[in-house]
Amino acid sequence: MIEVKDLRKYFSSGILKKQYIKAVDGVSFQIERGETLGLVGESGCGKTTVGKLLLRLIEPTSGKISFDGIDLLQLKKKELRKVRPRMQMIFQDPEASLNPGMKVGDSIAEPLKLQGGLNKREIKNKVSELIETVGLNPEHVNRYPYQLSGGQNQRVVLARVLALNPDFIVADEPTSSLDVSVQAQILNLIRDLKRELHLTLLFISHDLEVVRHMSDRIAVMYHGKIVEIGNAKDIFNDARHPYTNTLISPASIVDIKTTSDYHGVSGCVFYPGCPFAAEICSKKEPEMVEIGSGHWVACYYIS
Amino acid sequence: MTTLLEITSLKTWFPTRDGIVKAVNAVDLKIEEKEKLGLIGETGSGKSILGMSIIRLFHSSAKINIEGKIVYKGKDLLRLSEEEIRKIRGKEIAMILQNPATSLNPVLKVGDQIAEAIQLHQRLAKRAASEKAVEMLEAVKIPAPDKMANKYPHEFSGGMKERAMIAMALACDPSLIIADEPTKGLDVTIKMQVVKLLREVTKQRSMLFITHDLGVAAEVCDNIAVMYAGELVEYAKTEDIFKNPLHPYTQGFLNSLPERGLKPIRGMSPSLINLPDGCRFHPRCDYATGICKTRHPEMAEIGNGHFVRCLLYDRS
Amino acid sequence: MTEIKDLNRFWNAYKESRLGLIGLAILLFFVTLAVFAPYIAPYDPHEMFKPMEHPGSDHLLGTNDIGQDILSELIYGARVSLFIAFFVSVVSGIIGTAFGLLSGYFEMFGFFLMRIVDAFLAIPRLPLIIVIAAFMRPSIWNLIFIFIILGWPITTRIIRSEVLSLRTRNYVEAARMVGAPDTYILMKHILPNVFPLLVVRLIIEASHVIIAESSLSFLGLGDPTAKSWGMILHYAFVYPTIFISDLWMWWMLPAGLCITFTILSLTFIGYALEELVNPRLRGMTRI
Repeated sequence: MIEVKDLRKYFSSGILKKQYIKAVDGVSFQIERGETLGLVGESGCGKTTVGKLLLRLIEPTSGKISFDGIDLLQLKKKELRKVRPRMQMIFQDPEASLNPGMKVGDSIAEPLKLQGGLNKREIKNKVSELIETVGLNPEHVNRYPYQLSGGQNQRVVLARVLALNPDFIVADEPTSSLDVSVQAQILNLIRDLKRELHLTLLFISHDLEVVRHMSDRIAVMYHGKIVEIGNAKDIFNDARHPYTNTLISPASIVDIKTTSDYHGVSGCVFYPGCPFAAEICSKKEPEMVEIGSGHWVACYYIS
Repeated sequence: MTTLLEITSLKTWFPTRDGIVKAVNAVDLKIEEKEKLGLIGETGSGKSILGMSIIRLFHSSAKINIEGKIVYKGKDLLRLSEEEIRKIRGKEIAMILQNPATSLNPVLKVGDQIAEAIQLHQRLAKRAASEKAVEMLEAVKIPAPDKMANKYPHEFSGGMKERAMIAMALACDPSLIIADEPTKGLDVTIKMQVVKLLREVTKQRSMLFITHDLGVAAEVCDNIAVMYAGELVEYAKTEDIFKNPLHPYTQGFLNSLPERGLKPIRGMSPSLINLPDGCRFHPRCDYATGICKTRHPEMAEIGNGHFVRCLLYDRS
Repeated sequence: MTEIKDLNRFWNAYKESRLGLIGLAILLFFVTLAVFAPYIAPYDPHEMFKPMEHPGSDHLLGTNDIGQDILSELIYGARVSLFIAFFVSVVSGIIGTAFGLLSGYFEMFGFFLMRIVDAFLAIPRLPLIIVIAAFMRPSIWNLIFIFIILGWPITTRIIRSEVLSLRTRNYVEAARMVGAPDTYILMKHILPNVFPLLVVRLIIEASHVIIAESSLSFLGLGDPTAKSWGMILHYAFVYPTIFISDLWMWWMLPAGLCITFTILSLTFIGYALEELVNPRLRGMTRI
């Protein structure tokens, strides 16, 4: 369904002395139809950027993205607008993803109106259908986002996203701003909907436990690179990359250095914080190696 | 052990246009010396307001009614004047606020901010205060503290800012630290480092640890109080809360964690303006019976320091 | 239904500000004077009576050097001053908003337009107005033209910076995701959200214009046939014995007070609105 090859996004800063921040640095992966790929990593590792690049909300520096056989990066603006409804994104902060001045019913109806082909009555029916699908009450239609709770707003966002029957959804930390008891409601809803509607999902989160619950396969990202990818089960029971291990049992690792230390490091991205670092790790970047069926790791220590 | 802080029937209410926000509603709580007490709750449970009420950390123009008693070392903090409570704030009781990014002044060097906190309470020359600030930064394990003291907050990473906040709180050697969500928004690995640090620096002090993160609370706290809709619903040793949660809300809260199967609690927290009659939790509770709708349960001891506010355990 | 409810909610919040209420009351007073001037004013302001009459029962504020009733002049003056302020702020607001939206949303256009705006903003406003006004024939429409030319760049800049922040909001991205074209996003998702800021800007612009118009008229660069407050001041000021007699008390002071109170009322309203629009200014504790 989705195939990403050597995707890169560098942000530049500074006018006189250009500095590049490699937000995404050579990322490749595939997502099968109907599959959920979990993308885990800490803040600033580039996982949100990957999500936005996939939907072309931002333009990549280089790389290739194909969506259902279509080469996304070759599309012109107009063609892209035709493909867009098939791919959707759920953002972290539900209230920010809804126009504060629009009633939530209108927000849900908006994509239907924009696509055309439905009359007012049909749109209204479709909206009430969607409202029910995501577990809201009909009276919520006439409220504004600020009158609803975070969980309810995230349901509105889901309804809106589902309005166009998308094939592929990027969910970027959809529950990280919600309370634990509500988080469980929303995650279960997303999982159920995914199953019913045969959606393909890229689920982005910093919380490995949440990702485990949601995903078929998991990719672990660190400083713009994927360091390990494999089936959810393998990642949890047989994590190979030292960084993945620190995520699974954070208590085991003590002093990992901070983000800024990493720029300009050659070799393995995790080298400065890795307990098993050897000389070669600082010199040459490790390649992805397949160590089990579909389980890939980029680490010298393992291979 | 002696009691350091005792809160009795504390009420913090905010009158607003839409009605009275009953953020804290008749809370009783005790913190022993050197005790680490966890205060767990979700958004809108009133946990942060409870923490702020202790040292009255509110904007002076805010309309607030605080009632009850907060006895600290024999003094009722609520009866102190603004002047007197200022002497306690920071010196005796220090608060670590959530969101270190906005709690540090962006235009002042980190070292100067800590030195300023010291000079507010101790008669020290500027030099001596600055030296003390560097010492504090060293105590919270910031590498190259003398260099970092001369940097501005934006040059600190999230975890480092949190450390700087802790250093500032420790600066005057307080007996009680109120930490309000100190690990919110931090990455897992950084979070564990901060937790470890907090545990170290509070060995000889008491701490009220306010959080929604049960995992972190388990690492830090001796006892845990669970707050829901402005009141405490359960209080027990940390171990008991995890192994033998009694209140349906505590159970539901634990079960909704991803590692425990993501079983959600239905519905959502009530607004603090329109609290439900009877048990505050009954609209969301699977065990609710008719009486739960009308009778408001009291905190009752079930045994061995385990308190719960639920009619299921009511023997009368 | 909900629109009425929204207005109600807005009014309830606005009511909280005492300054805002005072400002609104003063402004309403002057607007009433302006609208109903022919019914309120005792005489036609151009009608001539005995010159230099002291205040009395016939002429509450006396007459000027050519015998016109000063009170009537003042009441009609509200018309001219408020009309210019209103007209200029709305027109320059529309131009500024249009440019602000476009330059905030389309980067290249914005880059070039901002250089023009910079050029306008770099020149000090009042001296430039004086220079232009001195070269053009003094008439109300020329004044309005000058004020509009000088007013739009500020509005453009303010709206643009808001658009720059709004366009990265998730809901704008979400609208793009469902295939919304640019014009639709601008009109439906961005314009309504810059509107509150725009209203504040219009109020502030109006008070600037009143000051500018009075200053120009006072300097003798205004429209000599228009009965604006500034012109009253001007004619009074050039009268030889204005300050060595009591004349200024009924000839100059009332016009000065009118200008001062109008500007004060606009400032108060702007202040109250800004507090509503910009939550950071609200001194409230979050719960």
